[in-house]
Amino acid sequence: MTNRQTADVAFQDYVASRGQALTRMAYLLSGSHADADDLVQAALAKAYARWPHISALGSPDAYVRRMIANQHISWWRSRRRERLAAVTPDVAIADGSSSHATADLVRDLVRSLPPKQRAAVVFRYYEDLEDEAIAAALGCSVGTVRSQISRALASLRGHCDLAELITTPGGTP
Amino acid sequence: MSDIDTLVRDALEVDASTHHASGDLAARSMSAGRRLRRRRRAGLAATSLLSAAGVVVASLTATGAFSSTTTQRVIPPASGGDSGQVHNVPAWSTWPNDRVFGSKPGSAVLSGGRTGDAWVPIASGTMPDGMQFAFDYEATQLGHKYSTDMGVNGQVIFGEELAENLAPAPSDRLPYVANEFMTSATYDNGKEDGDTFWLVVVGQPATNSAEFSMDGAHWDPMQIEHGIAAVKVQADHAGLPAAARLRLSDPDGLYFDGPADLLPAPQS
Repeated sequence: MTNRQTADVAFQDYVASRGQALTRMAYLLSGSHADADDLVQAALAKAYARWPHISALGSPDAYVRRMIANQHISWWRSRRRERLAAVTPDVAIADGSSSHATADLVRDLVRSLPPKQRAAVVFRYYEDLEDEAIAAALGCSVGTVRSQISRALASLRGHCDLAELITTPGGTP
Repeated sequence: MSDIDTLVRDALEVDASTHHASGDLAARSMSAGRRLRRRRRAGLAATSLLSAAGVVVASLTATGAFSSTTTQRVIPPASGGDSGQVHNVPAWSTWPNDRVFGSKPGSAVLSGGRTGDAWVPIASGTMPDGMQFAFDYEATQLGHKYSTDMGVNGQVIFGEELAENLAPAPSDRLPYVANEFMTSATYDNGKEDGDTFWLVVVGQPATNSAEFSMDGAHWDPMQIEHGIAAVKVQADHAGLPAAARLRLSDPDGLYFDGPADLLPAPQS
């Protein structure tokens, strides 16, 4: 097997093991199944073109994650008008009796967040990344990550339908 | 009642589980990735280059002139084994094996210049924007494929090799070896169309003049040093058009005037 073939196999193994997780992350960022696939494919195509270099860095995930996040924010900017229409709070009114309805409500509220706040939330709560890793993925400081997440959570807490479902650390809704 | 962290975490988990990656993600990504790299052309080196100094390191300065330097990475000479920086990095030899640049000449390499187990260096250098390039033949056990590499800061980012082995024939010579190397800006931006690249032509060692024409009518001088000519070219991702031409001269006069083919016809 040539070195080239070996690199291809390594890339295919990486996609086989991480493709599902990456596309799910991209779906959470974009809120669109079609965009999720496109985001990940675009990122992986660039990663493949530089695979010897990227794999040598030892952390392809960090590289690919950052490319997906950048691409997502870029697309969001270019499609801002239509996106704003698409995410107009099409929020179901939850009565608190259904965890499914609650999940739908939270999902829609997260999708209505600005893209960088949404990305920070997805990276922390879905990817379980440390703030430093989130900062690396978003190309910003750790302080910015914390402020983005803080604003995002404040926004979520401020939604009247969600506020009724939330306990505060002190026990007061 | 739940805390906000748990609500968000659970909601994201549920939402994410509704998405499933398509089964051909790797294949589609690799195909798209190959398109990103489809900017290269390759020719084969004149035999005399192979038996020349072995290592040619040059840089094109901002003022347009080449200047010799020994500070850039160096391809080991044929007798140097794999001890050099270039081939110590596995990535240098992990280029796609899926491109064949037109019809292969009957033979291209003098046996005297390509026997042995070591890599056969042709040339390397650094462009003003920091892009580094290398031309070489692979070692015998790897089939003597012609390959080119491109790197930044001494680390390979792209490489490419011919898909077919080259059978030696002492009578065959080729006038130059050429390749396209992305500019730093194109590499960073990943543009697929309208890319800018460096066209690097490694001519005969004594080459002292080189011109390039994209359309065969309008000619631009190429910067040249150590027989290596370079010019920045704008082209689509398909690379040079069929009308592109080269003129190469040495102290004895014009020795090549013809299409900037991927595989220039061998000369006896």
